[in-house]
Amino acid sequence: MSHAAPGALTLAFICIAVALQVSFRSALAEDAPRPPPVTAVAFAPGGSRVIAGSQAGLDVRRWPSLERERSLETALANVHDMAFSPDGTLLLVAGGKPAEAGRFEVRRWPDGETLLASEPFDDLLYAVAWDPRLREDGDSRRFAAVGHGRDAGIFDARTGKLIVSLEGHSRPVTAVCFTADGSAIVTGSADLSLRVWDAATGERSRTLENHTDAVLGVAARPASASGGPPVVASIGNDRTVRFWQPTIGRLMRFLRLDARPRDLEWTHDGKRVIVVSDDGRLHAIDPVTVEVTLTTSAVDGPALAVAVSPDGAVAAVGGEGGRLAAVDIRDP
Amino acid sequence: MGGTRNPTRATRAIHGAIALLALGLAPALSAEEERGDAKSQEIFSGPQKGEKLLPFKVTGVYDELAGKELDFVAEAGERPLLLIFVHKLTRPSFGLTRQLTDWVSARGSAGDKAPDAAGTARGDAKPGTDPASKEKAKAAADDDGSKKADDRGAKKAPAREKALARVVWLDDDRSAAEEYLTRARRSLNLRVPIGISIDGEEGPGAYGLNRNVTLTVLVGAKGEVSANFALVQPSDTDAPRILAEIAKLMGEKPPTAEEIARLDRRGRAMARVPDKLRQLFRRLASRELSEEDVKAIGAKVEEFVGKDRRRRRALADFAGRITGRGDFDTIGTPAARELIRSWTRGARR
Repeated sequence: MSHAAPGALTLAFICIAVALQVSFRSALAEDAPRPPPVTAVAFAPGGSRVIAGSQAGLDVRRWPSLERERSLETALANVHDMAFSPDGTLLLVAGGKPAEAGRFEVRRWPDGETLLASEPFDDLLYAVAWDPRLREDGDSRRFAAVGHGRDAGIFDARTGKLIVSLEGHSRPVTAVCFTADGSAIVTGSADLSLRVWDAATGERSRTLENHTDAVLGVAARPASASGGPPVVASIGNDRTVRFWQPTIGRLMRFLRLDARPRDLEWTHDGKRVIVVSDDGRLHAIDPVTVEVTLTTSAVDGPALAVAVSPDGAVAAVGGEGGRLAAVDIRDP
Repeated sequence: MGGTRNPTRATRAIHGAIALLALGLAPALSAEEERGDAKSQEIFSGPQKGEKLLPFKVTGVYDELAGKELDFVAEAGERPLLLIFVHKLTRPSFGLTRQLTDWVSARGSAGDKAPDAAGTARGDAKPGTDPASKEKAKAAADDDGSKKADDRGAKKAPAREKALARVVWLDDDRSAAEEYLTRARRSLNLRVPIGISIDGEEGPGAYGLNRNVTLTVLVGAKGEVSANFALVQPSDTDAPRILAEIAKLMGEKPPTAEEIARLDRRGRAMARVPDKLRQLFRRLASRELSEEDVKAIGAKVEEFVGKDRRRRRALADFAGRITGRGDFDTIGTPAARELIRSWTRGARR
């Protein structure tokens, strides 16, 4: 007993020291700044790089290793959306500062140099979309941008000037896409509606009112999908994914998810829509049967942004804490 | 300046008129704009012609179907199907629903359900014009022995209908819907199964129903839609064009508006017949009753009716309708038929 007592004391001392060290380290870890959430993801042309946008700026990462290659400086306090021009030579980045500025930057790819920046609106820009067609002068690229202050418009990518204003939504405009043929623009809003606009004149042609809560995203079926009229998918706060024929104003079918969807993208063959949701999951949806063909866990916490790799086999999913995950989306 | 601070009566009148004009014009202009928008928009709801009628689940509400999971599309199989989705219950929407379902169920029977003293729509068709009753009578004549034996069965298999009409009630609150439909069963007076969508107010997602319409009516067969009607303001005038589509699939002559209205009037009259009376008539329809049994049921009928003038009138109407049926001679025993005839005469008393 007399020999055991000093040994026990030593052991107790060591345990206390280790515990103190662990708690000190955790305290330090808690104090360390947590990386901001990845709020926008886009694949660069060719699919060898993926760009993640967040409050920390733009991260260019190698694909599929996700190893950081470089960072691109940006004046955007928040990055809400990114899109490559159809020819892959320009990267459009949008976001801004709440209640101060809605800003977009047109960057040259692959060097990432900013060619043009503009702050056309007084509040955040939520989404941008490129016009898939070259217009008459053959050299002019147009894109649509929408934002919090009910702002929506079509811009000239060369000058940054607003060409046409899309007026009609009564609450923040959260989403935008061009139909694959470039004839129409579809916007989604917190006013629960989708609106369809003539892409040439900016005239409103239809209002689609089936969502029962704010619309959070829209995406057009790619041109590569064979036949039929244009199809657009939308997601909303009502936890639904809806499929529309926007040019005739028809809701074709819908699906209700267990958690709120946050972002969506079509696979390039137009056969599936990939949706990520608040529960950190990724869902692959067949637009014809509205069946979920694949559900898988993508990130811890909410999954905020998704982009599908050009080969359609993997999706890059952005989440909280700067997380970026590669998820196999091939059907089991 | 003084004029603006202290406007004269005439100026005030002019200002007032301008303000009133502005107030009046603003909503008118806005409404015009909306109308212009709406005019150019065709309304869609549900799968369109040529698209698939996919199976979906509903919960049954009445009788033996209550609480059961049903699939009307699977039930129809190859047969023509009239599927009515009720988004909003209004008097016109339910009037139309009843007209459509009554017509299909009256024409849809290819079978031999028990002599229908309970007054299902099938039995209410005009004598001699109802192909179903003709078919039924023919079947009885062709296959007398087996038919009678079959009719005598206490519980027969339900008739296989030539076409199906089914109603889907769209509601997020299933128990509230069940409660309402049970409470309102008599006033709704539907003679076809009704199911509550288990997918809530918007119905099955694969159907893409438009919650902004009042009724969505689909006509189809073999799992494919042949006609789609998205009705924002349904009315009786929609019935002929819808029934023309299902009639085409059934190989029937499309009904005229007058024929539909006549059937509707009969249906409403039948709805006024007390349940107790229906039950007693159902018992009278059995062919296995002795004369004593018939007398006993007759006594119960008289006891129920008593001196109540409304019941007496309902009895006479009901009896009159049954005796007017083309297949009256096949109902019950001769004694029962004589008793029913006597109640018809009683109406004149």
